[in-house]
Amino acid sequence: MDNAILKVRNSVKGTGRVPGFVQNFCRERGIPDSVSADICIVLDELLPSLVPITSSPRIRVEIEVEADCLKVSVIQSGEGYDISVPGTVCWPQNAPEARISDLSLHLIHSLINELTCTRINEDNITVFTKKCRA
Amino acid sequence: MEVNKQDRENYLYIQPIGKIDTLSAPSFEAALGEYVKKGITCVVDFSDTSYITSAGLRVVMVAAKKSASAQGQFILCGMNTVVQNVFDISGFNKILTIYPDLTTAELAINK
Repeated sequence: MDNAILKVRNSVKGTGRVPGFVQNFCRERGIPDSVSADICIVLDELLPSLVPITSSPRIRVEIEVEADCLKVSVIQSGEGYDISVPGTVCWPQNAPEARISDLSLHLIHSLINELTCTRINEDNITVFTKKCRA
Repeated sequence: MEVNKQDRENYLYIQPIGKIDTLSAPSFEAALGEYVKKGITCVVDFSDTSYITSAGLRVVMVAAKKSASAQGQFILCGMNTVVQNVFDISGFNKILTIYPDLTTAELAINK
């Protein structure tokens, strides 16, 4: 499996390491800059909204190439939300409403090909894929 | 992100270099600073900007509104396909003045 994992501190500053990680991964594999830029945009829309609700000290970002797609997983624990559905579902049920703007959601959904959100025990897993080769 | 800023003959030239995201948007906002409030014509050249996120779009929108309130011109140009795509998706391309390159933007100012 061709993948890489980055664990960043649960802070906005900590998530600042993610773009470099994504861009290096893509550059080493000959994935176009436009694709890595779109992935960086999506992560910048998502990660800052996760920071205030994440209970663990770190957020895990995993990136892998699967056939002609780039698959990115964001894993954090504590409160979370499912942005793959209209209106956004918050986890657990009594969690405060997700602080992610409509503009961020619109950009995320427009720039990627697939999005899934699941909650397993206390872990919230957001996975998105984007075609990276013609 | 760095911002190249130059006072030119009849406008202020602003060129953000690198990415404009959550972390760098405040620097971009600071670079635009008081100029837009004063109604000075500003040209933001994105030719060396790799990408922009919603954090940067908000800075652009606020600056454009302040500029309009002060009877100024706020012009964007030189976007690569990634940056242009974000403006298109957000619909901001319909409410902002955008030119393909600096030469075209300068021609528009001098009209």
